[in-house]
Amino acid sequence: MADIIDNEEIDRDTVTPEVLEEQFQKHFNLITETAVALKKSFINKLHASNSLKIAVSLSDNSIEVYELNRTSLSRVCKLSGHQKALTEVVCDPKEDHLVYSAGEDGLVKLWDTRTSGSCVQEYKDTEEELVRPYECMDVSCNGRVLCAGSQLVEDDAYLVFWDSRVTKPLGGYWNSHTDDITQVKFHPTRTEILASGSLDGLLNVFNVMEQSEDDALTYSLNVENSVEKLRWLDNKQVACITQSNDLQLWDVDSGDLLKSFTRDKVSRSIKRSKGDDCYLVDAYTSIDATPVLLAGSYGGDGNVLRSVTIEEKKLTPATNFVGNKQTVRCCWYDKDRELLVTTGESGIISVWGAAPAPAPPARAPRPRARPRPPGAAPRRAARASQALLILQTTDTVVICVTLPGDDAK
Amino acid sequence: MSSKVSRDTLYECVNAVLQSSKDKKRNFLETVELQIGLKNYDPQKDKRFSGTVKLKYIPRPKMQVCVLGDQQHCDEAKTLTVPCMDAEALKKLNKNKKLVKKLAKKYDAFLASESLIKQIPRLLGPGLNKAGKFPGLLSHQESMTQKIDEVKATIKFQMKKVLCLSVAVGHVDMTPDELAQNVHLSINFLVSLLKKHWQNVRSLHMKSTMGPPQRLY
Repeated sequence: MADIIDNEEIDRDTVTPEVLEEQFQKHFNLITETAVALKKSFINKLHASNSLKIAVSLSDNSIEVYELNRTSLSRVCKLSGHQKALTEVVCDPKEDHLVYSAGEDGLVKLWDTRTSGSCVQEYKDTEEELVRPYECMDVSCNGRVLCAGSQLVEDDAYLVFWDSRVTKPLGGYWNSHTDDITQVKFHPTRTEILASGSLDGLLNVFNVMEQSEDDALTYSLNVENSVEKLRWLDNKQVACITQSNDLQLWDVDSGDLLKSFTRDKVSRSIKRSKGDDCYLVDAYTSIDATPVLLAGSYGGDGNVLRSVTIEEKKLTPATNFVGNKQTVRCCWYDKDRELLVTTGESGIISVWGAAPAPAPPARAPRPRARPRPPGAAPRRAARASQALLILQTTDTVVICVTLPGDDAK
Repeated sequence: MSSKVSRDTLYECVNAVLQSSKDKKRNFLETVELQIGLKNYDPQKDKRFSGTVKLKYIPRPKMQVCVLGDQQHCDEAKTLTVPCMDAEALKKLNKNKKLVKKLAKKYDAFLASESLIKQIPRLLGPGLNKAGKFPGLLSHQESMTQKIDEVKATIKFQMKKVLCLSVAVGHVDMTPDELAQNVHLSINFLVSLLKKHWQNVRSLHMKSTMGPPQRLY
């Protein structure tokens, strides 16, 4: 047996820049970006409303809300009041100006961004003595029910529910997880279905209409690794990213594991050489209904960010996000406007817009013979995507109303 | 490529751990654990990490695994004298919390056939979840004995809010080679989980349950 060595190999691309360009055909342009603070800061969580109000949680336990106007981000307000670490921020699915947050101080707060950021409601537990530090929370698709997941407190990890109009909790579950609950996510269109993930390696699916926890627990899906992120891809598929950076796709209707990809496989698919440097950000369903995985690399300058489409047995390169400046923690995808918002460890909010599709074919036969067109194509693309944006931000109200319904299909 | 823990250091530590347990015999089989100190890591800010890895040699040989099987798996389990239960037997527990708790206490881990694993919450409620022993999947494509050994040989690294963690990697009845290989594998896996790899490792120690710690790194 050999010594235990430090493999100092530096993570790099496994293909040439030309091949990279050729394989990652879906182009996104950086529309705008902003740093949330002058001081070095990082963004933990991100959530955006239907009309693109972007709420981010900062390392100083405050929330900043930004608004995307055409091609620039403007700050709406700063919300602060959590005494301990802020762990989740969620925009209300119906009321555009409402933002929820949960923290390790055991509080769930509701903020109104119209009244220059005051806390309008504080949801509490009934038991005075016991503080349950919350790790995550979510709001049901109709905005009526809140659920927060807690860390392990005296051997119990709690899921606590509230009616959004009442500060006293409706009840809770504490028998289904045995470690910190890291994620709760309501079904995108059905108010009664909830998925929760925990460090104990389980993904639990509940029907919250049932009377007791015993009956509510529909499935326990054994991820066999701590859950980092959960995301509903459609009405029955949930993507699960584990803390060791593996991806699993579960069908929560049938309880089957559909697909599973290891960190090494993801690293290869984003064309990087060192699996140990690869990190998974999140998954989302793109405009053409295919699931997409966003992943990056800590290696080199740490700015590599790429996406791949999740297919039956493989991951196919989709986008290389050129110009990314940070290790990305979270992303938010807007299907209607084809926008991707990314935030991360350098405290930057970046907004990416999809370039129109026709760009790639023009790219294929582009040897040195004609120097003009290659330059022209991206510029045209950038302008077109801006136009798209302007068009769509002007009728935000309409979009705001129809978006939840769209998900139902 | 720089050497972090030399082969010699590793064997020195392994032998010292084994020797000290021989010098002072205990009335139980001592476990050997690996203790890791971290640096350049902010538990508030940096992502938490965890991961499971299968070791080459079983660190917990006494672990009892029960198979919750369909007909075929139950038959197989009976010939292998592995404890097993079928759907009927589970139904008899009737979601009774006390009985489920008793079942969970009796074994260290569970494996369930594909058809059964989905019904577990329906049949037993969250009892096995509460015990932290929700079964792993046992498919018909894999060998039962192999899968059971895999469960016994799998360890979990989990970083919580403090800058150190420890994990059981073996026991004192192992040969120096077996123990060294398990330690080797565990360290390499742990380092792969860390964002800055070796730059996040402050110290590595190994020790038996009752023995003194030995510094590896």
